[in-house]
Amino acid sequence: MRRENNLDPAPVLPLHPAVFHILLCLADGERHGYAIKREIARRTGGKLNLGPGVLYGAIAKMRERGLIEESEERPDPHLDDERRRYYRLTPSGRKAAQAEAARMENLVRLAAAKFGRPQHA
Amino acid sequence: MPLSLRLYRLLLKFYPAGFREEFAGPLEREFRDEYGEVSAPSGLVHLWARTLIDLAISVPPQFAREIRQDARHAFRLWARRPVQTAFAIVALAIGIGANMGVFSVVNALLLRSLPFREPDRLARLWMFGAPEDFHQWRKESTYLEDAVRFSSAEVNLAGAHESSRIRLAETTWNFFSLLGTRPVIGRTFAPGEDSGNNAVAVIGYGLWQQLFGGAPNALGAKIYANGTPLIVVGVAPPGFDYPQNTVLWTPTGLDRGRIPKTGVIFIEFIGRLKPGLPWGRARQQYEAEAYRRAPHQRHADPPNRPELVPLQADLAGPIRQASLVLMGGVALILLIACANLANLLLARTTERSGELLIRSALGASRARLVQQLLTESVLLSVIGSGAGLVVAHWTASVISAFQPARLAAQAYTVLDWRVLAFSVALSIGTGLGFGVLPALHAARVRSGAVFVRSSAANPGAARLRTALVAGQVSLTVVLLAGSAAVGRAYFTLMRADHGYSTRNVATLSVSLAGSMYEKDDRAVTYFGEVLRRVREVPGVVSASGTEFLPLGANGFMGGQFTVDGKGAMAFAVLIPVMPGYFRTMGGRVLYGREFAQADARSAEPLAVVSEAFSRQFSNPPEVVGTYLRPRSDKPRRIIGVVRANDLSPRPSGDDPQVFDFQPHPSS
Repeated sequence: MRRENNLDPAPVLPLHPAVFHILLCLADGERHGYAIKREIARRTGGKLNLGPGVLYGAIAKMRERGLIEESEERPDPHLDDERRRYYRLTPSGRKAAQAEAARMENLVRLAAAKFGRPQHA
Repeated sequence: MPLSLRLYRLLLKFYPAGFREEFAGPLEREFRDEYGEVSAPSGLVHLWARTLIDLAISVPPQFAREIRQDARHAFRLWARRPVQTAFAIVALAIGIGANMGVFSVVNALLLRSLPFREPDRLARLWMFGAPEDFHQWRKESTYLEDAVRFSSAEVNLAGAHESSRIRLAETTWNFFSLLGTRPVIGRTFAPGEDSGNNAVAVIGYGLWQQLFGGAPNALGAKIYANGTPLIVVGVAPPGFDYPQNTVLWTPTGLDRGRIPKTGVIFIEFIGRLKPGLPWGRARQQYEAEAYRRAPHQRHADPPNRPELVPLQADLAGPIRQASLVLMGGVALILLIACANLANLLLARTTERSGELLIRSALGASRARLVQQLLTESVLLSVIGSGAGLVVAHWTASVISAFQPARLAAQAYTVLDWRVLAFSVALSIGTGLGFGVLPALHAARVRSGAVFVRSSAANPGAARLRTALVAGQVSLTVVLLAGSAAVGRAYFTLMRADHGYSTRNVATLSVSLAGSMYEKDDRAVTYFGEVLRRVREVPGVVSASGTEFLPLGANGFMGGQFTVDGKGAMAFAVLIPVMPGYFRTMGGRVLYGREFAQADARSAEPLAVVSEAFSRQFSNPPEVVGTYLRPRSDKPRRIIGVVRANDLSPRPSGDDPQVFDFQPHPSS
């Protein structure tokens, strides 16, 4: 059973890194699973390469929590493969991503105050 | 379709049904996309490596998720039918628990290795014509790498604070090294320590805790075995008690007179086969040696046949068959319980057809429904197994209470990994076994079908249930027939006349070896006084003593006797007894009388003979008053004829026996 869209993101924080990346991908618009996987791999420079089982396991959980939903809109039939599933962000998912970003920003600020910012090459 | 894609589609079946229904398509599509990007064989290898890792990581959490959902649903359903659920759990607890308990015995006896180094190379052998120089013989053996000679007996142990009766094993120095057993503290016996006057001992772990509180200062402490001082040099590891509950070992295997003992002592030999020597060849060489050593033995007779057997088989031999039969019996009980539960679940599934139809209409696949029902039955089975641990522990305790003493070295435990693995497999197998039929029946539910709540309108379910009931009845008949046969044999045994009665009889084993009462004349006086005091205890109507208790002795004395020169010498078992023995044991005096207290003041040696013995010389009543003449001892006047004591569990009643009472034993 999927939970209804609940706009309070607190119960789902902190987000798993894979979940956060999926939300970031879907912020740009609807995508199917393989596209999500490739976008995450590109953004992280290949450091986070989600296997299909892990990806769809995360997607299943995110759907249950109401962070994403399956989109009924599909491309033209001659470009489509009926086995692909397209997903989009829900308002809850957007709020959760924003809350997670704010949480990480606070952490970074706290760390910088304690340890200073690292010097990147 | 390429092989990789076919294989991946097959591997997707590892996912639970719900997840598979929803995401099999996208997963397959994505694998196809990645497969399409592979350009070299190394790329394909990398793809499969990533895929297999992905499966290994993602399958278990999905299963856990769906099982949690199914479990929550199952608990809700069970809460609505608590009585039915409790009945199912109790039936499973008994069925699975009994199997676990019996398997723990089978495991300890037949499967689990003995706690020795390379136990499959250890052998028990019967020696014919014991070699004069044992150590020389074992060094020259062509089939044994090493061998040990030992015997065991009960002795009185006096330590720092208390005395107790314990089992002592007298061995050659290499006993522990042959078995590969290392001490917890201290050492075992050194080479050559079994010759000369080395009064050292290794004590058992439990005895160490009991006498010394587990303290290291046990090493060097002096203890007394039947009055003989011994210095403790080492402590055996926990659980080591070979042979037969031994807690004290001394290297006096070649000098068994050093520690005084009473009773019959058997000398035993075990050996370790030479590395790489097959058992068949070892047996051939052993038998050839046995015939060479004792050419006049009648080797064809079963008691005289030379035997070299694996030690584990020797220890387990007596009750191996009984254990396997018992295992078969409890397996049948479990099958009956499974059939019963399958019937129960089938009835409940029929009642739940409405719920299943709705779930099917909402999109649940056949596989998902089957998975849910199987999860319920396996969960029920696992809970039943948990409750069954209590039954298992009780079953194992009951069996261990009846085991022969020589098997006491095997500790039955339900915590052995084999027993736990068996229990887990049994739980899951049982759950699947009684759950699969109802689950498959439920899978035949179709969307839009009429709700069927009674089996009368569901002929398929009715036929299945009839078949299950028929199966249960058949198995029950088999069990009942077997139980009736065993029960009849048991009652026959209990009703048989053994020449004595065990009802309201308590026995006690006492040895005076090493004590100040050890000498024969003082021993008779001592026992006479002890028995006098015991007879004064309220509730005691009679008390007596004997050298050999029927069923409890591990050996007997015997000799050749004749009666007043009539006929040739005949063999009879010689059983020394005290006055009042037959009255105390419920024996039957057929003619004359038995020994009385007044006979203790007389100097005349007396005897009572069994009916079978007396018939060899005359009519039984006519031997009363005549003299029994042993081959090499003083004659004894026969004062009575009795029904013989059965010395083994099988009733015979016709053993030639002489019961002897010597108030003033000859020096």
